[in-house]
Amino acid sequence: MRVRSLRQLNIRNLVTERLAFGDGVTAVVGPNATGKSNLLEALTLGLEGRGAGSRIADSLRFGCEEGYVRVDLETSDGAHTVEVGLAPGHKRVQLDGQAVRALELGRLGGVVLVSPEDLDLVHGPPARRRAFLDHLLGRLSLRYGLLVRAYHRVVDQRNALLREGDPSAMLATWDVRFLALGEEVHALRARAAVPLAAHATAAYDRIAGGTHHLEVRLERSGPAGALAQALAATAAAERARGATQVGPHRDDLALRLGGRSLQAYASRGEARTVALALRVAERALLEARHGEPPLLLIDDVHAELDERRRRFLVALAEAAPQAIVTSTEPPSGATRVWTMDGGRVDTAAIGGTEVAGGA
Amino acid sequence: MRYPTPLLTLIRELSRLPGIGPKSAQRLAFHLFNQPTEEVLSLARALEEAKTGLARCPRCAHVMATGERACDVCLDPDRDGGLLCVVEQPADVLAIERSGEYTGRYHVLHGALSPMHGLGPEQLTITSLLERLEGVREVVLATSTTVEGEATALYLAQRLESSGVSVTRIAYGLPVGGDLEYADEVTLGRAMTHRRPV
Repeated sequence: MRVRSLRQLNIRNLVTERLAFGDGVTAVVGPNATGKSNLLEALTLGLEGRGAGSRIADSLRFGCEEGYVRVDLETSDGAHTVEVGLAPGHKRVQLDGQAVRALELGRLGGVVLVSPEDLDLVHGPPARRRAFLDHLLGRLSLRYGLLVRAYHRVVDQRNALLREGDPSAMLATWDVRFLALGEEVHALRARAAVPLAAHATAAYDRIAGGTHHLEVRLERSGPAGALAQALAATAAAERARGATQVGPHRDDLALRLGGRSLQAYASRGEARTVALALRVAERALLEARHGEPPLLLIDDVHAELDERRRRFLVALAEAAPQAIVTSTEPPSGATRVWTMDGGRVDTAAIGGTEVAGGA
Repeated sequence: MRYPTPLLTLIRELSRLPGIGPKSAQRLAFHLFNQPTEEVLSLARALEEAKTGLARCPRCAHVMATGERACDVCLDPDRDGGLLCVVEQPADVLAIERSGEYTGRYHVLHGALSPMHGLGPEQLTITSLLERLEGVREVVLATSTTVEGEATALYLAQRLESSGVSVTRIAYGLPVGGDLEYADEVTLGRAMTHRRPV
């Protein structure tokens, strides 16, 4: 996927309303807190229909009630336009003029965002890694996205039942749905985890070149065995706590290096390398699924102080058909450099492209 | 300044309607205020009559005019009494009626199972459904394909198992007149799974 232009209104602190994008590496350079990350967020919003924050209002300019993003892009099957309208608690997504669910934008080929917050993928709780996996799989398969959403709804309904006085009569019905959807979610995750792990391990070796190998494995929660057995074995605990104790909503994507669990023991450098390896794997799976590389966004490339990793990042961006990279100082290998200040993008800096007018 | 009490009351009442937030309620309230008195009174009468003039059909729980013995479908002697279609809402009855393909009778549940919202079998018309199976040979479960609709269909199938009545679920698949190319992959996948011999 390649982005041709972005238009936005009231997204975070962005002032520039129109930008045209070219192929190669576009570097957006400016001091901290000038809106570079917000520009990447506007792009992500327009390409995936979701922002970085959990609430829609988080993506809007402070004090604004409504916002808008339009992205014109090109995929191997032609040109497309995505429009996203935002209002508190309400989002409207259109693809080529047709209203669609945000999940359906996955078919455009996706975006991979590499950011300093990726450290969370390693040090964060299992929920962070589940979110990574669900986000990735949702773009590989619309069925997965809808399935995992239905599964969470069933878990919520089941938990509501567990908090009631005597849930036993109705629990049997919800258990049938819980087990069917839970096993399906698990099966799809397990199937994707194999190539994901292979790509991540290979990428880790390329970046770190060390003696230890990265191991990525989907780990089920609760007692071993099929979900039905695990559910039966935790019947007392789930009633005591009023919450379902086993299932894909509790599973983890376990990360190990030389047999050592990384969530607790990774050094900062190891964690960065592992997180980057996961992003490379994400990119590889999206490319394999859609037949073309996803758009690559790298937030704050100079936050990466390690020379080896920084060179890898730069090489990754240069090899991509299109990459947009933010930085506090001009990175090497950029096709064009834009500057940013106070939410305003100046494309005239070095090799910049200026948008004149526009439809 | 503060809005006068009648206006605040109206906004509060309007914002209790589904899909209406405080802002929309305020807009509607001012809109009503600017309408001719006669139109507003006519709306008020319609609201009142909708409540006092309508009742649930004692057989199928569909809506009917107060004072009737049963709804139009239940009173229609040409309907196939052996076929019973279970739906969530009265609006679903109207939708199926528009298709003109269905000749049986209905049963309206008035909701779907949703523990999160305190909706269990007792809150739906499931007891009266189980009491009217005499002479019924097939129950068609036409609850929606949401998580709650599927759970409700499953629960009903379990409850109906011992009754000896045949239980079916409506099929889902491609919209008629829709191009295969434009169907989302989930709908297409389901249509493929539920394919049938021709």
